[in-house]
Amino acid sequence: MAQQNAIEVKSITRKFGKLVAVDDLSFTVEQGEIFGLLGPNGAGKTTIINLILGLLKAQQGEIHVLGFDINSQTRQVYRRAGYVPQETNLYQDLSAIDNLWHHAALYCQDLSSVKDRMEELLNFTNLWHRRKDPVRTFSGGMKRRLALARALLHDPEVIFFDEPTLGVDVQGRIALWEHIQQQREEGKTFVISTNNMVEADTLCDRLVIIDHGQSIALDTPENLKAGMQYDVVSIHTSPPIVEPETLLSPYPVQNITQFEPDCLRFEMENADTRTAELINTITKEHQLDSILIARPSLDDVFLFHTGRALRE
Amino acid sequence: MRRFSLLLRNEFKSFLTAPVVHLIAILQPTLMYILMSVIMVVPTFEMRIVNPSSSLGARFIAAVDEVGSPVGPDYIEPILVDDPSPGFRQVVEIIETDGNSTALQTYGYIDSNLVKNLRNRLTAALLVLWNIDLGDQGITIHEHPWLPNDIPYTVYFGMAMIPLAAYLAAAMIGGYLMAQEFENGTILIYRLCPTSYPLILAAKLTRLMIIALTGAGILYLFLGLITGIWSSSFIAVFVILIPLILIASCIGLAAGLITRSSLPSFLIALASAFAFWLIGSGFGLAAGFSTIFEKISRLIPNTPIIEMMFPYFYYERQVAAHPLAAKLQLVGYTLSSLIMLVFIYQKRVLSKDR
Repeated sequence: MAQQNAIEVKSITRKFGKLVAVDDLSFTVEQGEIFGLLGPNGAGKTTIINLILGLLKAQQGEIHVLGFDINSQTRQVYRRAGYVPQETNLYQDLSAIDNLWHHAALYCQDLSSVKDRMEELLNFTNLWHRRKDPVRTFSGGMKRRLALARALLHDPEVIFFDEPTLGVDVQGRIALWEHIQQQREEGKTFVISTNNMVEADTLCDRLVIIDHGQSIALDTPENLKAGMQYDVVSIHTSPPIVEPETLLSPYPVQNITQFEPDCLRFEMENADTRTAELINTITKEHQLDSILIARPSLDDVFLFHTGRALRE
Repeated sequence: MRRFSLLLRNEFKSFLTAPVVHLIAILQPTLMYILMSVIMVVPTFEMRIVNPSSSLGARFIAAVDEVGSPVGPDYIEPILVDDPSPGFRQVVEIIETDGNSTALQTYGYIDSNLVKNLRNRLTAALLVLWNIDLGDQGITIHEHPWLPNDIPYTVYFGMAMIPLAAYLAAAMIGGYLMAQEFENGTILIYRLCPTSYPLILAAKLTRLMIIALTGAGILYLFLGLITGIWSSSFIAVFVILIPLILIASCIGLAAGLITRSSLPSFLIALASAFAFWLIGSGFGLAAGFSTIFEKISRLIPNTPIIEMMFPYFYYERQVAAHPLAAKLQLVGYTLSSLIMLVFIYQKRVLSKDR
């Protein structure tokens, strides 16, 4: 028997007045995977999560979470889903353990084992030693970890994590990624929304790139990047190259961008096999200060599909 | 039951999120009462009867005894004087219009019903005398420290503040904390939780009930300590308060749900508490004022509450015209408030069409 999808989103549309926030969007999330919603701010990622969780109602389309219709079987979904919103909505004046007790009363079906579960999760997120401290004394990373522990408290099958590492320092970010991956290994399904390409690349098994509420690409990060068929070349020269199109005309290049006077960026098929030849061409009349040849990033994928960078 | 007790535990933990607001809401009426009881005049009565050497004075005292007083004969202390003092506002005048004689008496708006009942008895006593021979003499009345058998105005005032204390604590804390859930984003926890919302609301109402009863209890304690007079049934007084606390909790929570902002909900709770107190028999029983005021006052839940509490502070004297009607009114208000709260909670928290 085929494994049931964790989430099925079929042709959903949501408008706010004239603004189309989500436009005929479809995708599925398999059980046990980390699925990413990647897109710039305002792309509609949080709205999509709100629609999947039933916080908003789609004007068209269907959403099923673990086989339950989100509109008619909301409570069944809520028993099995956890959510860490973008704004960490913890009670700042309560201790970490009191925040968990608050959540337990509202979410946990089995209250007999909840105390052990709290200890397990606070140890898992390295917060056990701070369990009695008010949350307002925690760092941003600690708050996100506590929010994750809270979302996991009722042992949900699917966890929605909106911008997991927003405002979190590097150490905290790596710790959070590890926690998410550990939970995935235990069979949890994660849906994360992010505009951080490194996060999406590192964490997600598959992702959908969202722009203006529409899906513009959906695959594994590797496949999305492999589909680009070119390498990205960045060079610094002195003096600056005045007519790059002429200089690079022997090569299969495209999208030449001069983003600083002495810095050029272009896309080139199989650049890694023609590096020496390219360097020779440039150094005939210019001094080459640096050259970087990279496989396309998810930002390049986004640029390819939308004509603008993800960070813009 | 375990879930409900956990929910209740969460509710009480919320004290830590706003301790100052809790303390203000619980203690403000008591502090106000203590302050006002210091500055408030204790109204009891002293009569000055003109021409003490005449036989009229003695006849008037006999007439007062004959008519009686709702608070006992010791309440009135007649003092015979030679001249009516024109400076006294509360003068009973005998005037003649078109050949008919009339006893004219003026009430102040904040006079308690007790005062008015006394004056009515005095008027009656005067009318007894009038039949004999009043002539051109008058009687003046002024206030003096209270007498042993009287219950002073501070007791009525304090008793009428007990509903205020209960209302204020429930509405203010309910509204403020509910609005805080929106301001801090924690309302999302309630929107996504699988627990049934009537259970959540029941925990919130129970918490507000306990806090409001605590606020009312503190005032009750100070009322007794300051006046030395304790109600005949502590439990009955607090049972009577329950519908008002539920109404106040619903209004407070609804304000928080609608405004989603702590300051407006705080102000709504404060304004409604004081409006209900002032209009709802806070300074005197509704029946003691004008007909229009009484009608308005009877729409306020405080009025039936105070009328039902009255016997427990005033030697079992029943003042509510229709005790059953008052009970039905309170039941109706309470049910309406609960229905309103459920409706607003559904719209503001659970609704998806936003």
